[in-house]
Amino acid sequence: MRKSLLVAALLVLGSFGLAQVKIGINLELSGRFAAIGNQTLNGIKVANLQTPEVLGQKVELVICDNETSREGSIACAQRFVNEGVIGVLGAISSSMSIPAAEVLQDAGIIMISTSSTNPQTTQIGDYIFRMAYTDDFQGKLAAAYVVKDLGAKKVAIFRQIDDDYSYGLAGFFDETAKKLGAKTLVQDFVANTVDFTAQLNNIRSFKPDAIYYSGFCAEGAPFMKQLREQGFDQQVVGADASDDPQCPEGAGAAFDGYIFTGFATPNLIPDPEAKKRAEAFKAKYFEVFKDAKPGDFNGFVLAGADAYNVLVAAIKAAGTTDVKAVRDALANIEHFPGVSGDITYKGTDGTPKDRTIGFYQYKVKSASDWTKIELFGKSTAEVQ
Amino acid sequence: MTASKLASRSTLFSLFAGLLFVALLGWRIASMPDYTFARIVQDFLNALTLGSLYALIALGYTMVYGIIRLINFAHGEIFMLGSYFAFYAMTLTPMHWGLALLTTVLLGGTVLLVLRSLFNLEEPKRTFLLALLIFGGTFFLLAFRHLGWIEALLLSMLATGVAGVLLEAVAYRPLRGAPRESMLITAIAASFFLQNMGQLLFGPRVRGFNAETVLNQPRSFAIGEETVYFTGILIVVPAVTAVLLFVLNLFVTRTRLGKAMRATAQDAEVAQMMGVNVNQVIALTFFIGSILAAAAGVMYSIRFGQIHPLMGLMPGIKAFTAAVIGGIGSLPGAVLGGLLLGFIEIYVVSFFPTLSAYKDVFAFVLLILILLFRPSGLVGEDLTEKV
Amino acid sequence: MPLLELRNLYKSFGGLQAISNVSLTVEEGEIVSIIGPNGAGKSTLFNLITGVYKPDRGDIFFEGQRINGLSPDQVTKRGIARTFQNLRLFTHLTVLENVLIPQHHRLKSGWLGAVLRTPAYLREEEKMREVALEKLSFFGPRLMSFRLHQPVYVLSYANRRRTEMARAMATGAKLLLLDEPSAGMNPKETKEITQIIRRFRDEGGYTIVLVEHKMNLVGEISDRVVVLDYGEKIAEGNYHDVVNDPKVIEAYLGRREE
Repeated sequence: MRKSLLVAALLVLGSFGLAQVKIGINLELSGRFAAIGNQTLNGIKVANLQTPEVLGQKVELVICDNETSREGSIACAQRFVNEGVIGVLGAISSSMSIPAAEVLQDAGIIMISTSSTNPQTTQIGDYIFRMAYTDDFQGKLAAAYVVKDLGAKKVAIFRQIDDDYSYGLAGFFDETAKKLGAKTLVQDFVANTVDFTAQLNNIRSFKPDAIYYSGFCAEGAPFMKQLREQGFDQQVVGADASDDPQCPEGAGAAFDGYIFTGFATPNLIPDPEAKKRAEAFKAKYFEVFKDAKPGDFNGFVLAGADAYNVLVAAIKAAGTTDVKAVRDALANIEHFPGVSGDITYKGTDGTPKDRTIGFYQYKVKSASDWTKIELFGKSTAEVQ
Repeated sequence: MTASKLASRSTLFSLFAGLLFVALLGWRIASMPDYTFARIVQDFLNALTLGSLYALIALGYTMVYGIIRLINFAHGEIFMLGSYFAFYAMTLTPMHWGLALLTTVLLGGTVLLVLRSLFNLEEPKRTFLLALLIFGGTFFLLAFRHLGWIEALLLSMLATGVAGVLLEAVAYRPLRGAPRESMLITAIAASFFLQNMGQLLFGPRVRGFNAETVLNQPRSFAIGEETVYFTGILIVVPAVTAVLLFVLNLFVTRTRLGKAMRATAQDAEVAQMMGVNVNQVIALTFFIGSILAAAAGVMYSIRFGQIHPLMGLMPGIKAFTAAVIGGIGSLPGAVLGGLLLGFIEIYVVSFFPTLSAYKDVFAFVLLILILLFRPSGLVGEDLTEKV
Repeated sequence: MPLLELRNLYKSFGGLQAISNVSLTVEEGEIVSIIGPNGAGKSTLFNLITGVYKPDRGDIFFEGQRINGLSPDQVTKRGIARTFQNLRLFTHLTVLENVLIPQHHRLKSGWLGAVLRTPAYLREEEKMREVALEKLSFFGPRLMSFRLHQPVYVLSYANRRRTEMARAMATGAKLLLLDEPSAGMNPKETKEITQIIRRFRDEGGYTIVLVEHKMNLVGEISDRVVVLDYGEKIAEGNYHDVVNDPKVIEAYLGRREE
């Protein structure tokens, strides 16, 4: 009896004395997307080191691993509702972000998905924001590149039908490719597929000029491996989910020459001021994570950092930790100087205006010896 | 064998179903102009490999069920362990001599103890020789050689066999007299435990399994105007499987321990009364089943190029399904079920390309059909036969 | 010293007292029959002796050593083997395999010998085969030629009974517990098995305890007869005395009325 009184007293005291601003983090830290999730988390951590306080209070990060599952993401979201956080950063994938968004919108808690690109996510409500571009842009840009720049007349599209991101993105690509006059053939697979012999058989007589892969690396690695083993030597173009060390590490030389779109790295950011900020952040990142390999730093790290930065900025602008006020401040942000570029939420549904999409290419000698080459960047403002 | 069996309804039905299936297949092939002979060969190679892998895993399920009427749900994780042992054997060697020494003592010691109890090696002279072989060999391999896939495969088989024996000793033996539900629950718990231990020890990330290029080099040969593509692994898997099955068959039919295993599977209590050391037989069953699962795990990883701690889930469930389809408890049934499942997965998707995303479902559709129409499995005994 | 001695055995299952204060001695070379109405506890007694059940109270001695508490395979190693009322052969193994398996526990050479096929190993294999054939020879040539390699499930009921007895002998036992050895046999086969059981003792040197219902068999070969009813021993002696004992008659007649 006395013990529990003591504990209760401590708790009450604690909640007063150590006033903190709590920010929840809902990320895929284990499971198929673990690499991207951890990269994003590192970005948040560095940003947190740079800006550890707001409104005179310490910012506390509450980390929840959704284990790359919808159920895990919902559980994390519920937990944050109970703990009374101001906002939640994450998830990285649309499949995990959408169910979490529904929970958080209902409870009136801010959510900033660091890398969900499916348009649906921010349409769930006005408390839901994102840091990335949307897939209608990504799909259109990729299709234009494949059909016009690469000159492909027939494109085979591989999509993961049980993932919102992959499915939606493939749809946007397909639509644009067809509009540009190319013939397409879509092949489906599900999560954890390792055997693509069926799908590869199906496209053999189609004789595609190029292949578009809209899935993740967990399936992408065996896919590319079998593709090359089965004698397909076409150019393969992927999307931002391929911006993951698990791809080249998983399949080695099969990824050599693989082109993909992704979050912009410092070099590809057109605005010179933004580029400077990104470079500075990159330097800070490698200062904090001394043993990091070059491949550990990419646009996801920047996105994570900016999600944190922009939320903290909104809290500062609102001048209070009242969630509704912060949300309003966030929704009115214009030209916030982020490390991933200029961020404007005003007048949008939560998707920043004018994001840069980078084009990259893998140069792979072996699974332990690979690099990513930056080709060029395009702004979403340029896309019709 | 007997006239009554041939005429039994379920056999007739299976025959009819089989003929119907073949007819449908023929009709379908006729309507697919681009389905060339090369395609058939291509699919055959893939199906044979996939089916062999399923067969190897299914044998472990069926053997354990035959002996102690338990579905070892953790068998998929044994499969996963096999892959990881080989992975570490190939990526961590040659080791620093201190680490090699430590590993040799720990692993070698465990292996030695387990082997002694499995094969009745009380004799001090024999034990000493074996210890020399195990410790010396292990240390040499770990410290001085960069292990290739064959060595890694053999080492992994041994280590995983031992792991299977330990699993039985820790999780199942204490529950020997308990009701079956308790054993079942423990098996499921063991499965979860090993999955999570795997995530903890090996890291949750999906890792690439990059074996020798000799196995992964794309090759091809021509059939008419078409080309058939394959890699070395598509030859290796059926070959290794055939060898393992041959050895297993020899062991089970010709050796004393093999006979004791078959006797125990039929009536464990009486076998014990006839002097059979039933504990030893059960441990041996787990040992053999785990060896086969490890071989399957290593070859699976080479074929598909990746490993992760949850990789045993799907193959495990499918192989278990294959064992039931073939007739749980029957060794030839497990092989038949595994091969059948592999062929169905590859060929049905070949004939109906729109189903390619759903190919995992076929196993379970087949399972439902079998349970409805021939629950003892394709090769299993007619359940109505009297003793 | 008697070969087998049961002292004040008690065994209950839940509320049912299956064996109640049963004491019995069996001398080496004797043939003792246990009779009694169905449910009297005869098979339970066999299960107690072979270690399948542990007695609640009382002791079992074999060759002067206490054996209650040993596991069944340990009891077998001591030299006791049994056959079963309902036959429990390894049905999918061959006749020969059924008679080889009980011999394994007495072997010396291990797997190394098997893999290398050492002369010692091969000699043992040959010896086991000889032993198997020797035990099967009690039943004449019928199980020794082509039937040797047939799976048990194709055999006739009588042949299965014979195989099971040969299997019990192959364990190297001194004491055989035969549970209704003539069940399911016609009068001709019964007469034959009666002679064979006597030969087990005369030529094979076995001590035999058997449970039987066929009184002619019991009468012909038993040195002693023990009667159980409701788990208690109610009579013991030579066949003639026991069969005319009023308590025994009442046990059978009284039971039949229920």
